[in-house]
Amino acid sequence: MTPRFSLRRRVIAWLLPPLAILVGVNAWLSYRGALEAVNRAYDRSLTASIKAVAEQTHSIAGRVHIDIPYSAFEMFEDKAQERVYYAVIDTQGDLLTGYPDLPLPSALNDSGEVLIVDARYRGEPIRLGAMSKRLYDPALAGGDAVYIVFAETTGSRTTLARDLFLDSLRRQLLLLGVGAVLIVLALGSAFRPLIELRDAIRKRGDEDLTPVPASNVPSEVGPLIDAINHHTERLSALLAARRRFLADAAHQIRTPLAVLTTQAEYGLRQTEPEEMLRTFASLLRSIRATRRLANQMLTMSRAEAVNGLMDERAPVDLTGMVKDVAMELVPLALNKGIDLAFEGPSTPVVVEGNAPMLREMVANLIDNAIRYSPDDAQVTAAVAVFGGEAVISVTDQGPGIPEAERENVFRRFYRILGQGDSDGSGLGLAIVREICWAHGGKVALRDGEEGRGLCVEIELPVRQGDDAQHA
Amino acid sequence: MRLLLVEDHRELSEWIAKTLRHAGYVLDVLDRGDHADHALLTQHYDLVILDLSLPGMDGLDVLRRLRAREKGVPTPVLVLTARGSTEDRVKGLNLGADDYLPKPFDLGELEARIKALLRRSGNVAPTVRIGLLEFDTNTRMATVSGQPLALTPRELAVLEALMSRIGRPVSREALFEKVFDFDADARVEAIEIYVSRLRKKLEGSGVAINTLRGLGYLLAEVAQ
Repeated sequence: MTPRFSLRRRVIAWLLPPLAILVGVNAWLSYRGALEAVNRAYDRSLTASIKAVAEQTHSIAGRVHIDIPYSAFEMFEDKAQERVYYAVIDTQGDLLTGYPDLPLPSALNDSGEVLIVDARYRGEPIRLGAMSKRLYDPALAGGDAVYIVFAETTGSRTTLARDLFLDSLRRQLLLLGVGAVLIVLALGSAFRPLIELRDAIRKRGDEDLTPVPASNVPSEVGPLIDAINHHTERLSALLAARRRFLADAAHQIRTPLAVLTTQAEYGLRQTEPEEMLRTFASLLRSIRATRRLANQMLTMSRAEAVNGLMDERAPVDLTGMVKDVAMELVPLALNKGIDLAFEGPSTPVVVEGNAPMLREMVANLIDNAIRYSPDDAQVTAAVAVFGGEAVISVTDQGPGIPEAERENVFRRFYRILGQGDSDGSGLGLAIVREICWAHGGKVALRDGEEGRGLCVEIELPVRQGDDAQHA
Repeated sequence: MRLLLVEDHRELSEWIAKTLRHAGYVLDVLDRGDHADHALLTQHYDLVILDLSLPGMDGLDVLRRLRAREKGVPTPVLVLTARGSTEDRVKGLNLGADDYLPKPFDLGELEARIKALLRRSGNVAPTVRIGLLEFDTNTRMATVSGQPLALTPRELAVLEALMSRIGRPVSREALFEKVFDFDADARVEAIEIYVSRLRKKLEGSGVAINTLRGLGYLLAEVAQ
């Protein structure tokens, strides 16, 4: 048995880690979004400050006048913890006013647009905006433009972005948590009928093979329950058959034992050696019949074990096998003066099956034919191929079996009234049918030649790939 | 003729022993596998009748150990078992059992098998008798009422094959192999000629060759 897995665990394992990853990705995206929004808002004030300074910057006769208006710093007031840097630089790179060494963005051009970039100043990350302002003063030496630079440290931007991000993360985690709880609850509710079913089955008695009620289970599990019920039904039938067989067998054994007891007791009372010898001979006959019965019962139980569980299949040549079995039974036939014959092709007829069981089947057929035939009669065992089916037939010249009895004789321990041969075990044909069915074959009873006697025909599928040569 | 019977079922071994001793065999009886193993180590037996399920040591082990230490002519072993399964039978024969008899069996059958095994190992008189016919398996001489029967080599081969399986059929193919060389350019049907000639020569010997259609031939006593 492979290790068991829990459906609940499997569903959770499939849902939760991907969800957590999704939440992570989403969090990163929302942090980026928050930062962008904050930057957009802050950059607006930065731009406004730069523009305010630019408005107040003039050049008259080569002298640059810069008036940093208070309004330029107004925007930063509520963020007192941020440091604000500014500088006005001429085209030679000389500082006109403000903080030295503020970096100029390399992409800055003369369009008069404000360019805003991330940079570092004095070891701190800063957000830096810059624009170039034309002064239209021909007297100005270093060209007629200046660069106005404003920068602020980014502490409050990132703090705000982080706050926004944490806020949204918290909401998402809450959603995830609620989702997880809902999944667990849903699974619990989905599995409850199964757990109830399990408890109900556990509580059943060992002998209780009634169907499991399938009314309260989910539709997905219904077919499973049906399959289990179907299996149980077969088990139940098998069990019933076994019980019946055991009871029948015990009963069947009692009859010959009664005969044996009577014969032995009768023998003990005899004083004439002749009569004693005759009793012994009868005793021996009864014992042999009993022995046969025991052997047949063993074969029957083996055949049953084989049925439905045939794993030892191998190619079996029916021609050789039926001939072999017939050869083995010649002495038995000879005792009754019966002429036992075999008819078959000179080529092998191969079927797929369990060789010892098939032998047993054929032995039972021929044995029956000999047993029920009158002395000096003919018994013919034959093998042939008709339309892809291998046919084994055994024909005798015995009393035959009337049409009405032909289904009954396959039943265990069944005997036809008036044909109560004490030698018969009543199992022969039951064994034959059991083995035949286990091989996917068919068995039929017909009249013998010229309407006399009985012909038993077994049809078995010829092994794949072997039928062409005989068809 | 010294035989060893190893069988743990008391009643069964007692009655087998009675019958075999009555038939003139000297018989030792043991009921444990390990005891049998020890006895086979120290004594010589002409034949061993061995049950498979034994206390002390499994019958198959006794057989395996016997075969492992044997040099020269192996002791014939007849295996008895209640486990009628083919698997056991194959295992036993692979390990070197010479014959196999499933329980329950007829004593007559047991005696016949013992006789056949002893004859095969050259331990009994080589003469086979049926009706008025006698056949010496060593000299390959056939006599009817003491008078030698004149047979051609092929007729003799047919008779020999049939005599080796009295009461059991011999297939036409098996006879053919005994009578003709591999390279002989003959058809299986040719065997019928020799059988019918032999049949004529056996008239009045109280023995007849029966034909079993599709199966073969069988030598049997003619009911008087």
